[in-house]
Amino acid sequence: MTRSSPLLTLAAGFTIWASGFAVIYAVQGVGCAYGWDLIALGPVSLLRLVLILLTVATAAIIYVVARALSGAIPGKEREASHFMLSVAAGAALLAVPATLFTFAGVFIATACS
Amino acid sequence: MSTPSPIRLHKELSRIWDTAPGLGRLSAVNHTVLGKRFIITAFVFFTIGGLLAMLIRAQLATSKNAFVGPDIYNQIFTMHGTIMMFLFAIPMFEGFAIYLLPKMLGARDMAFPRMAAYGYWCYLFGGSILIAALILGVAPDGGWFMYTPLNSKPYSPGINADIWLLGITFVEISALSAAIEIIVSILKLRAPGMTLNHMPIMAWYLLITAFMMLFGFPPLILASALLELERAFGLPFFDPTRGGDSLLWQHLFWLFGHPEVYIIFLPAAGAISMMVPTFARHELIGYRTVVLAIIAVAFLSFGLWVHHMFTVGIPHLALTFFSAASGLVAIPTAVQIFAWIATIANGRPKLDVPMLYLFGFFVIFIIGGLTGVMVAMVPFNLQAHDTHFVVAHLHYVLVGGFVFPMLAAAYYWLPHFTGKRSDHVLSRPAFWLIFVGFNLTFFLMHLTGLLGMPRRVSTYPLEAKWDWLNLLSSFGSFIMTIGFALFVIDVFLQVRFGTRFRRDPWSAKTLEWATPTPATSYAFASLPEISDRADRLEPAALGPKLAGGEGYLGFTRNNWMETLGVDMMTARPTEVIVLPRPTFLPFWTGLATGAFVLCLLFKLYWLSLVPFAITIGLWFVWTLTTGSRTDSAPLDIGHRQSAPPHWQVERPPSWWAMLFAIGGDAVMVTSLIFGSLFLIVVAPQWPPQTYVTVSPLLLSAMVAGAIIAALSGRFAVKQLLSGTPPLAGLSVAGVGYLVALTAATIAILNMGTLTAHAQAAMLFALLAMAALHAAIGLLLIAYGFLRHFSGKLSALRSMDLRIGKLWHDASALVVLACVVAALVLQFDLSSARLR
Amino acid sequence: MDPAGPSAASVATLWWIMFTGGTLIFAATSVVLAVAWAKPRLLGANPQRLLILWGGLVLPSIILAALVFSAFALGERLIGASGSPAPLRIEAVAERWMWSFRYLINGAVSEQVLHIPAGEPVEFAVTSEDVIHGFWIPRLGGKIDAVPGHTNMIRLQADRPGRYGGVCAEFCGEGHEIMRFEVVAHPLQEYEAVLDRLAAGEAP
Ligand code: HEM
Ligand SMILES: [Cu+2]
Ligand SMILES: [Cu+2]
Repeated sequence: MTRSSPLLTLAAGFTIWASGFAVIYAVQGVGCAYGWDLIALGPVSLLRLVLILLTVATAAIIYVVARALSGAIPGKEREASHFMLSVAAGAALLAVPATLFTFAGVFIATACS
Repeated sequence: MSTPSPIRLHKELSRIWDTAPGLGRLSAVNHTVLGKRFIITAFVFFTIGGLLAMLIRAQLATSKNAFVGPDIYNQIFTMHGTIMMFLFAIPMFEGFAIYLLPKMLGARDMAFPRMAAYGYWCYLFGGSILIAALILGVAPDGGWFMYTPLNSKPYSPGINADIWLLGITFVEISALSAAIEIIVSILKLRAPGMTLNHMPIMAWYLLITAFMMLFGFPPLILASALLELERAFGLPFFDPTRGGDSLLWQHLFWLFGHPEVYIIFLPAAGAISMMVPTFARHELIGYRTVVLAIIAVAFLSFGLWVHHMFTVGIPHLALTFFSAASGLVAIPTAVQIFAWIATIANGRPKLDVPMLYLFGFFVIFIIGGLTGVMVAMVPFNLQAHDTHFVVAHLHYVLVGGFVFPMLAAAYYWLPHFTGKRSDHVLSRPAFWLIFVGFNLTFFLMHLTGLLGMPRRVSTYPLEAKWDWLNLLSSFGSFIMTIGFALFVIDVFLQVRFGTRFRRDPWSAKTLEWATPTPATSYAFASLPEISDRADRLEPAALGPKLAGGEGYLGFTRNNWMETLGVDMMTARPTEVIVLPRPTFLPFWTGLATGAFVLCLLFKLYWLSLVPFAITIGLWFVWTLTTGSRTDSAPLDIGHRQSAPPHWQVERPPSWWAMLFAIGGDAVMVTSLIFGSLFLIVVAPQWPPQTYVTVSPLLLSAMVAGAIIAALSGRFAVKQLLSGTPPLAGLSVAGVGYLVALTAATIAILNMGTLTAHAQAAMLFALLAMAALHAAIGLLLIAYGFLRHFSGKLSALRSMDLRIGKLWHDASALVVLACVVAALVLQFDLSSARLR
Repeated sequence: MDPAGPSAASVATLWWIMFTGGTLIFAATSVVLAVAWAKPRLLGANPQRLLILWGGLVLPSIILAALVFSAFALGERLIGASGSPAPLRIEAVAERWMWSFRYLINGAVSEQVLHIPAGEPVEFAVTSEDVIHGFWIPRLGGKIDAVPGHTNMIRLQADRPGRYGGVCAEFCGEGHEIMRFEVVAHPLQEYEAVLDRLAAGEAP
């Protein structure tokens, strides 16, 4: 895989975003079905707390990956791998605010109907 | 090797590459021929879909219109939507991709010409089934998204819905095969030196779009298969009275359906990114940013699907994710639009006909994007959903984002197809008629929608006072139709009477204009070396050199159809890819597959085994002509370099194809597992009264068999590489698969009734999915034997077994995952519920 | 749009804001495109930064964030669980191709005609007997699907007494377009009497 891995890095940041999305959405669905929103933990419900933690964790993981990717950009400007890694790092960096924006609702919206 | 004269080289290459005339046309595998076929066929379907649209507008012109009744009207709009999405937009872009990609990338053909041909036949036959149904008055009538239970047996007893499910799935085969072919061709079949960051930008668009297809279509294929099982055999996956859920259909459908919209838009955006630089006379600004934006769009578009389901009763919190993501996707789209504007600002723009159509695109698509953000806002969506506001929005996006760019593309590349250019007398009036007609038709629908006019109604009350808006809208659509008619005449005139030109009529800077025009079957007499970005070339100077054989492979050998494969990253030549000759096999295989689909349609399940077996048999026949019985020394490729034939390298195109196919397959399996969990958590009528269970022994036997198969598949490769015949490895792997298959069969036969509750049905689906993987593995084992006994395997020629190995590994994982999900399905988890 | 209830009214306000904003954005983008084509020098020596970074990324992000968060807040008011006391409840059941309503106060039922009080929020519990339908009274507010096997809630209010049209919004087969119902909003003080007459089987 080593020879083709720069191609995979392009997808890294947003793949984590997508996985986070899947997990958060699933937890939300399961949590509502099983009533985790009814368990209060101080000011928030168990469900909301888990969702908030997941959101923050997703963003944090992407951020770490983005840092690692931008650290790995090779110096040689003209090489394909330079291009690939800089795009990959850029995509991952953008995926951080995208994550916070997508899941901002976990802080405010009604969890279950 | 001495370089022959351009004329002689042309003659030799044409002799090898050309498709035979007459009936021989059915044997075409050439990308130029197939690309044109896809485009023309898609345009024919567009015409049919357009005529249906005219019927819709005729019906809606006045209130209480008795032109057609609701029964016919339902068929008309369902078929209009279905045709436009599945039989026009997707195949049209596939046609452009197949025709243009090799020429833009500097290759002689796509990676899998016979797959492209087979895909075409599947598309043509599948589409024809739908049109035949339309003519016979039994066309699908449940809306293009086929919601259940409306399209389940009790409420749609006729054959109509089956036609949609089976016909569209048949067409989908061509989309999936095109997706894999496009990915592999872009990654492997480029001109030497053309690294990924030097590709023409359209290749990036197509690469990412193809990945989206690969991951987007499987949920729909799965959903269609499940619904057809429900309709045919009563397995209640979507039936709310028996533990199924209609919302499962919606999730699976839109998981495909929303990415689909971007699958349609992105290729068009790719074409725009080729045309804007040509007419701005400046290279694309922000190449890297645009690539980044495409990646962002591709991913975000998989996180929006629930915006089609805001009104189904999902909690507000979950809706906010999808609402935010839907808004977010506008940003990378805006980045692309401003990159085009920046390109224009940096250049010395000149207005020509394609650019005129692109202005139409800008205006219409921006409006469509803005209304898109509006309907993405939940409170507004609750008002606008299912009204003509949405109809207006979706046409602003689809017609603005696809039809206008494709019209521009047609004018832009028509000289390439025909070798002729025209003075465009009719092109401008055609544009204005289409543009004005379009806006008249659809802008007013925003208003009728806001006034409360629901979509999918054939009549509306006079008191509603929507009459004059609708009348004007219908009037506009007839203006638009006249415009399209002018376009057709214009194209016809250009093909017939255009003036010939030498090369590169628009002074474009990309490689496709370096081929002779009209394009020859082999595209390039010799392949270029690219050392800079491939949108900074001088095709007019490069073309003659390539025609003179100055590039790579500027000769013929063994009557082989050769092109070069390169390393994905460095773009150095790694292999000579020997492509298959024209053959009737794809045609026959397509026919056999079509016969299979027809058998299913008419419920001749036992008979369907015959065409099914024939299809499989023909697949084996395909492989008889490939590969070699002898090891070969590296082959000369010109410029004092050499490369081995593709069957002797570690990762030939077909290895990658298998890898990506497995990727798509993984999405399908994941969707199925998601489906079972979804039903457990959300569906009504759970837990079931009695749980159907499967003996753990059988489940373990399935897993053990699949793992043994995977391990001995690996062993077979090891044997082959060390010079021993791989018979032991293959045999044990075969036995492993047989064990898994037998266990699954016994398990299924002992399950008892599958129709009482979705728990049993889902359990069956999981076991069947596992069994399917084992069966395919078994076929690959048989293929390994076939290759061995026909002398095609050696330590150097091991790719067939290594491709098999990929599958065996994957199917072991799939069987394991399905079995785990099956276990979860057998337990009552409802006691943990607080609600 | 002719809103006759608070929910419809706030959506109408949202619409007018978005419409104005959208028109401005469209106009601005068109002007930029025209300038880029005809007078690119107006955009400065290095237009790509201005255009892609500001036009493509920063500005849309700001506008979008403002819009999305206000829509969240509004959505929370319309379909979130608001803390106010449980208002009047009516069950709406869809069946091809008609609507029936059950009034939980006294168990009265009506078909094809829905009676509600004016000036008071009503909570509807919507479900279906067969396929998916959509419960929608355009002038009062948003719609909610009637999904078999599920019960969905929506809260609506008519400000003034009068008659309003209701439709099935989700395509449900041949009778979809005639699956309409009528909504009668009665003055609050008369409403109880109306329900009593309904329960007794008299004309309301
Ligand atoms: C050529 C001019 C076209 C006209 C006049 C037109 C007109 C219409 C109208 C009036 C409807 C609404 C039917 C209803 O809800 O009762 C509709 C639906 C639709 N149209 Fe078009 N259309 C055109 C082109 C296209 C194109 C190019 C596409 C896609 C690429 C498309 C895709 C759709 C889809 C997906 C639907 C929804 C069908 C459904 O509700 O099941 N249309 N069209
Ligand atoms: Cu969508
Ligand atoms: Cu209905």
